[in-house]
Amino acid sequence: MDFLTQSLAEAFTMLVSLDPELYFIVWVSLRVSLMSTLIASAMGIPLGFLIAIRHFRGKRGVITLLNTLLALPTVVIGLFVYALLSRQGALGHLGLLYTPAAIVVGQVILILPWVAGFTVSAVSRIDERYRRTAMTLGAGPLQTAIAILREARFGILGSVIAAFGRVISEIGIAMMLGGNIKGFTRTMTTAMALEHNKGEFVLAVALGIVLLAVSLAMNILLQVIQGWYGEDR
Amino acid sequence: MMLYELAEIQMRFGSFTALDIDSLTLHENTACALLGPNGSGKTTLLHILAMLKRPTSGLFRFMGEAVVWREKRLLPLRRKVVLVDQHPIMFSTTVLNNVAYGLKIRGEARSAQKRIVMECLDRVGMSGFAARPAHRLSGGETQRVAIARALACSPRVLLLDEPTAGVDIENQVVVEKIINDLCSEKNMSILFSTHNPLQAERLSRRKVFLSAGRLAAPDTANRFLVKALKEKGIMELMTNMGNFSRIAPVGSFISIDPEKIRIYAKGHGNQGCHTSRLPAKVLQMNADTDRIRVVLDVCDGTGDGCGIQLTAIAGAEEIRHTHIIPGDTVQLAFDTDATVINYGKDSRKPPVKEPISYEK
Amino acid sequence: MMRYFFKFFLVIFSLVTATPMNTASAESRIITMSTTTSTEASGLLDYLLPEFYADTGITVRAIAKGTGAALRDGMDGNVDIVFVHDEEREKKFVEDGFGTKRYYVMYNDFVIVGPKNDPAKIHDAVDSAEAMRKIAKARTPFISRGDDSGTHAREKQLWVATGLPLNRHGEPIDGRGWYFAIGQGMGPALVMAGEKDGYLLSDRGTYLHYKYGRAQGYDPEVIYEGDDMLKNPYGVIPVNPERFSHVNNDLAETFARWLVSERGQEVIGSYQLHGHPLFFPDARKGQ
Repeated sequence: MDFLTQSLAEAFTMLVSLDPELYFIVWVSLRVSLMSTLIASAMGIPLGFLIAIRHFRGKRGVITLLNTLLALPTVVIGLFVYALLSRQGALGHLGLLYTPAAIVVGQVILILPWVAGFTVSAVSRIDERYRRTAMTLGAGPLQTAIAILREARFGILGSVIAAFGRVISEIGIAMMLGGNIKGFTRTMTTAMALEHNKGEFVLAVALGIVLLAVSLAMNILLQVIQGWYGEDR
Repeated sequence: MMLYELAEIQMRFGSFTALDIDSLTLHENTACALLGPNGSGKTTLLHILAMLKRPTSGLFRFMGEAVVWREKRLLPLRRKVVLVDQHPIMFSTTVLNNVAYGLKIRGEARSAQKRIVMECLDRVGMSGFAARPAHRLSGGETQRVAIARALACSPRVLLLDEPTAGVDIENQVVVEKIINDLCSEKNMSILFSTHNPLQAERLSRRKVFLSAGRLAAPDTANRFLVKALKEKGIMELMTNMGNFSRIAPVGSFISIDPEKIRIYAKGHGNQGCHTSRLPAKVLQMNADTDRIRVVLDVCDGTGDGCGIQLTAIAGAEEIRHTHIIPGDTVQLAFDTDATVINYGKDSRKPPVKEPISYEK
Repeated sequence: MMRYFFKFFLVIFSLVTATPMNTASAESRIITMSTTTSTEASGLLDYLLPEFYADTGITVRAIAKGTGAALRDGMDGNVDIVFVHDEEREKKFVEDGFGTKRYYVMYNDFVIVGPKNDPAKIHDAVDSAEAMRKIAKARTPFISRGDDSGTHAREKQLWVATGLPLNRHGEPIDGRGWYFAIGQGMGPALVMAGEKDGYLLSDRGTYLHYKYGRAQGYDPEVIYEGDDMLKNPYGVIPVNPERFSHVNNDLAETFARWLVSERGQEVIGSYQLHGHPLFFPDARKGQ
């Protein structure tokens, strides 16, 4: 018990004293995760939208595939992308392995099915009348799409936030593709794993507190957004 | 100018035929009511007229132009027509933004947008609501804003799907008044669906009846099995009246529009049995506001009532002139478009006696 | 409200995207090194690399893994240099043409850690092989790293030296109930040995860290130490540029030569963990 309280106390001291190592790790984590989320959203939202509104053969199959990919473990993605980005792999010449960009590639693959899948369900939930209304008021295909996405914005935003929460707290991809290089690819989760390996707890606990704070902030944001959503309906 | 010309328009969903219209023409600058029970295809027809749904087959002309159902070609045509849904849905933003939507889409200048929006809201009496969140209005308010939103697009055709369904009584009156005002509008045609014949009467000059996806006579009371008419020997009389362009199969039904039956007192005009008139006995007469509903029993060859009851609706003045009372024997004439053949579900549509022609 | 919210997001996103991801520009002098968890977890790298940077202006990005994975990174050309401790495999690595040359840099040693009361009575064993035999005989818990690391390789060598019957994984055949292969790093293995009152082979650095470096302390003691078989030499090998043209061989060679230079050896020798030296300079003349 003494041990835990002492670690906590030291962790808080570290947080308050704005320890540069700690905050650099937080910065790397946030930057990589935001980047992954941004790219996955830029790809996943249009993809999910198209799947939701188009009628095509095998649509159910595609949705089932997306839902299956949701459960893909991070280490599987890590392994797959490692094989791709390793110098011996197909994209080895890019020299991306053990860089933040490699983590972003893996994390984008991790959350693309999330963003796309949740966009599909968010857009599918949108009343058919929105499409009809936009069209009858003179909207072209793109304008109609924008009108529908606008109505689904809360659901989509929720999925983006959930995706961000997923990448910031994952470790498999960051460890395997980033390599936990100090001051370069060391993220909150990989740093915590290393500290555990070292038998150190102070930095790990401090990072844990930051991670919890980020998760809490994301959840509050999600609640607020869903609150608007509920009210707005 | 012809607004819409439809020929052989069919809308099928799998094996189910939702709409099957032989021929329908709608003129410009008139208010037209679309009547029929639920599920009769009113909404489907409105969606086709709004060019939101492509009919499975048939020829569709809009403002003299044969419509090509390709998105690029449709867009400019669709911008002349606006449909207001039965339960209109509002974009989750302010009333002002909702009404401005069509203008934004059309790239209207911001200053003009604001002016037009306020004008349109004014016309539906909702100008005080501009800044309100549109998706939290009541049913009646929503309907009014939806009409304003449609008007902002200054359409040539305004289609309204059951404009007063789901609207409280006070707002029903307001919505009817708005529609009535719009009918006097130049350069805009109004077509609305309703299941309320009185509303149709109040607001429209023309009525189109739909039943099971087909154009039909309005009153289902005047619906007879052709086989029954044949047995009573009445089918022959009716055929002689020259109302049918197609052969009516034994298994089909004939509907007769009650408003298109003319009643003549016996001995008035032509004496005795006129070949183009049908003898009948007056059973009952009911006043319905300024109109009178007359229930008749059609006479067979022997001159007695044969049990086939027919309802006619005519203006009170018109009936008063004939001096008829229940028990009288009268003679009936049908307007040329009074009868409609309703083919039974199983019977196939027979070929047209004379081909329907339309301009190419 | 929504509008401000979206603007806020836009600002964050542009901020994130504006900062370059991979800071390595053309003229920056950076090499990537795969190494063992022990060099990183012991804190040596945090002491050594800044000194190297101060002398040469070269940044070394270290990826800490098990020896097997670290060598594998070299074999795949994913790093410029490897710094590990498994002499046999390192030599093969050079022989197979993956590395240019193996430099002896330093050694540290393994110790057999166990409960204070030494239930298997290994303290007075004549050599490390006898100590292991005694553990097996007493069937006291033994925690094996089981992760293909250098430490794990050493465990296996010790088991072979005992002459006990082993299975094809190099584990004692009658290991059920006392031999636990956990597949984790040194730290977790030490913690587990403490929990299970068992013995384990540990590098001295990690042990010292657990013993003296933490507020909560660590009960197990070094029970047996000092045998030659417990020495753990570290080698550094630049990855062969003939094999992988993209590797930064010049800077890797610079780092290797710095490590074995007088200056580098002095830095290594001066590193202490909680008042105890950890690594012993081992550079050979003329290498």
